[in-house]
Amino acid sequence: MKKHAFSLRSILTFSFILLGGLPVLIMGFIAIKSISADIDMEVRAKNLLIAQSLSSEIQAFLNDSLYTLRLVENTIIKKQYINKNQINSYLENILMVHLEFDSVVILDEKGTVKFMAPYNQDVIGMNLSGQAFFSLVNRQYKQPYWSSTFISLQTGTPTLTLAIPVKGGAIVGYLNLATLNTITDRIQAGRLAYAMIIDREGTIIAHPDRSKVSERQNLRHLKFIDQEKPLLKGNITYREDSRDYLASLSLVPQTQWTVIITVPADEAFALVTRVRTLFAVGAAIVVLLAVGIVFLSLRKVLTPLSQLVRDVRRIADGSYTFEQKPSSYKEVDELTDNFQRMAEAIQSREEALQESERKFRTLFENSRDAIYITTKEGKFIDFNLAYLELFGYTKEEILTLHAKDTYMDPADRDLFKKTMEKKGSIKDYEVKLRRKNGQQMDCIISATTRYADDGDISGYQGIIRDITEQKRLEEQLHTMSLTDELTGLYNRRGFFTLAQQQMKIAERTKKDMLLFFADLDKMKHINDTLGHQEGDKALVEIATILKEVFRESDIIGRMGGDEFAILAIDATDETREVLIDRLHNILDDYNRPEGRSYHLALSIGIAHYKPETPSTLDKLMAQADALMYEDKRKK
Amino acid sequence: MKIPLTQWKRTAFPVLMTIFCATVFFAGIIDAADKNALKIGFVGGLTGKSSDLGIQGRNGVTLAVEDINQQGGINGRPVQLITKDDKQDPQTALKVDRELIDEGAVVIIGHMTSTMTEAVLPIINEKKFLMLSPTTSTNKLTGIDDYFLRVINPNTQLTNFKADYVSRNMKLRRMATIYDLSNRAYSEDYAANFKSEFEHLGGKVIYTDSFKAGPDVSFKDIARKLLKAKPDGLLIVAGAVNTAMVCQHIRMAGSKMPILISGWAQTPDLLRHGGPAVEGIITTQYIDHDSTAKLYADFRERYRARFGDVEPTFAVVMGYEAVMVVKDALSRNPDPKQLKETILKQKTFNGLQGVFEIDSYGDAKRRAYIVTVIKNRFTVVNK
Repeated sequence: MKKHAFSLRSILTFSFILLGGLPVLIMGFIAIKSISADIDMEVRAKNLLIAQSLSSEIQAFLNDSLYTLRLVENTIIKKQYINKNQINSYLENILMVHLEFDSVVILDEKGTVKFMAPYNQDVIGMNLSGQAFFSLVNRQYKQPYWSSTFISLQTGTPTLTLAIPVKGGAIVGYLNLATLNTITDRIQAGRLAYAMIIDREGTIIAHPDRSKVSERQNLRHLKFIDQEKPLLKGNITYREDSRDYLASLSLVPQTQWTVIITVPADEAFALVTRVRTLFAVGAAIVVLLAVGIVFLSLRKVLTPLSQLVRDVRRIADGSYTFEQKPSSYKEVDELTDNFQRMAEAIQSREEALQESERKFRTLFENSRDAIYITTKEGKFIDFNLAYLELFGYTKEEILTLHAKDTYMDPADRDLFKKTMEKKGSIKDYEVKLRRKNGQQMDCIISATTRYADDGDISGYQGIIRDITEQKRLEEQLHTMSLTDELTGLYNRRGFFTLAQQQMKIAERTKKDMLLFFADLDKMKHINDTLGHQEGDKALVEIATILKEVFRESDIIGRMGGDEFAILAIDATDETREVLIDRLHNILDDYNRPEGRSYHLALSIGIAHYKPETPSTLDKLMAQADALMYEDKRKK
Repeated sequence: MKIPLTQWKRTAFPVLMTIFCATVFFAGIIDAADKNALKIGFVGGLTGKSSDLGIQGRNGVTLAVEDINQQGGINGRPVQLITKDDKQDPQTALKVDRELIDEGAVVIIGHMTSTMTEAVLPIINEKKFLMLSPTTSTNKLTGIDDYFLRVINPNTQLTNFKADYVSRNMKLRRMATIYDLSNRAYSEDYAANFKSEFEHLGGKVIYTDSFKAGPDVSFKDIARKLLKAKPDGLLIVAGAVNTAMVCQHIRMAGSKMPILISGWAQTPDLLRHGGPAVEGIITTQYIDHDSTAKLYADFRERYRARFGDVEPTFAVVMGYEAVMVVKDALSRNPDPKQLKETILKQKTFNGLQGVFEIDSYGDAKRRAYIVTVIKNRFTVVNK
């Protein structure tokens, strides 16, 4: 049988699910993609706006700080409003008003700390020329300088310095980064969105997670920073800790800081995730539903179908039981019903066939006639016991035998074949066959030709009857007749044959017997006056009467002419009287009707055989004959 | 009705296939978290006044992990770096180490200071958890077979080297030492080792002072008291900022005496806060900042690109090399449980500036340099 890679069940199930699931999946995919794109655009636009406004705010903050230092410069250096002794306390006042400053330091042209607030005598006189702000503000820029962040000596927290060059030195303000955090912390752009600021080195200077600031984490690897070409504003995506982020950037030009509004992509796309989940669940439900429908529907179709397939296979294998099927669709039911009927028909036919085969086999095997089947070439295919017995071969011997070997004259086999070819069948075809021991048999064969599917002769089958004995008996019977043709009784030979046999039996069984000898009175007169026909009629009547009087087991014979002899078996002297009476009564009954042309009467002599005094049949006959003549004389 | 198993199989196939297709479809949209990552922990003091060492170390470790991941991870597994701040506080150090162990780190790179390392050592040994320190150099942990390994030499090498240098080359005889008690395990040990060797060589430590870094410390007073003792030279064992402060006050007081500092202070903060006051100070170091070794030059370039326009310090290099030691070992034997044995068996490692050794006790052996500050830069004297 051809092997199929996929069963109907697989294909149908797959199709159902595909049909149900695919549209949902495709729709889901398109919907998710378009929603994603929309949300992406919206989030970016919104966050960029926030970043820009935050950037403006920070610029304002920086400008304010710068303005404060300019104020200090104006007051102390330019206008010299403040007495040198009071500069430190003036600076203290500035710090009290401008909380964003941790400290303000005035350096001389060598970088030595001249004045500072809060006042620290350890720091006064220290040389800060190693600090970037001093070298840069004096040598290069002559412009305000915003440093990168560092750990403040005073507070131990990340700090940055704003330095302005002034006549005879510089004024340095230590700006507390916490102020930036208070600005960025106000940002509300969704649950997980937050604002952060990184300095030009990439170090975080404002972040909702303060540890990132205090640990001076650097985000340079995220490529926000391009010192050649700072990004003024824009959107980027980056990945950190296996999480994607959408970031909107805006530059703070003074310090080249970058304000970043960042939101984890999964948060920004929370709606997308929800929609996706919804679609996933929807698709799962559809698939489950499809699976459910497939199961219900396919079970209804395929279970009976599979059942049917199994049943048909079973039928092919020779078993005709059909299982009880659940109902399915009309077509399947009809198919199932028809198959069932087919199976039943095949079954009943096969049963009939088997029965017939059984019957014929029995007949074949039990037949007293020899039955055989041979091939055209003479090889034995089948034969019954009678055949083996008839020919005297064993089964094994027969199988090695050629059909010709069973003929007295092998040429007869060719003759038989020729006849069969011509007639197709023969009946009571007489032939002389040969036993194993070489003995000749007179047989008759009735045979038919077996044909192959293509119409050629494939062999012969026949019945052989041994008629050797029958032939012999026929001949014997021909010479030996035991019955009298006229009366149907035994003739003299028949009577003697049977009576003598009976005598032997009586001798053995010790039974009494009576031998009757009877003669029809006036037979000659009837013949002479009424004719032979009437005479024969009288003889037949007597025979009928005798059959009526005696038992069937008794032997009745016509001894010739008008003489009859009866050997009554198992009869005693008492029986004799009964028999005589019965005989006379029946004779009377025959003679009574008016107008009969003759009168029936018998003269009878009876001899008694007693086992204690055995006698021969001839003696008994002579005795009875004598008694009969005596009876006739008396009349 | 009971459906035979074979039927279930036949039906299950398309069902599973569909579910598989759907999963693949959705998986294309959903990003799965990388659970395969190899976790490496880093601990150091990342906040506070003395955080520069920790931050440098963290930066070195960070760059190493980023380099490794760019090259495809270790044995194909990406490396995830978990950094913790011990805040220079023993309790915090214990807490964050436990956290790292619980989070499944295979090794702790840390701590950055000896005091912190000493504080956590019992738990590290108890848990048989490998700790590989970039910068812990206290001599107290030298020659002990435990779960503490380091890529830096025990500080006796440097203190001996210093003592030798100041007595033979600089002909100093009367030294003062001052050290910061906030990293006592390191500083006290360092000062004592120096004293021992210096006096062995015929010199004398005539003045010793200590302070505990904090807002109440008056460096002006410390400098004044120290100068009264009139030493030939001074050894400061403290963090960068505090070392800078001491230097500032020594110079402010007008003294031009030679100043020696410890490796602990060798960070940009020293130069920043020290300014002219730290010009000419002397120290010993395991790296040459001007090295032209290809490996180092490439590393330096990557570092500057990654962390801004700053020089990598010894702490950065040690942090970087510590991770590379772990990478080497795990590439040889991926079983993290045998990491210690694998490292000790390997013994020699390629550092950024040459080969160094880790002996059977887990102590490193490297070449040392005499370094001074010239024009606000660390410069090797004895190349």
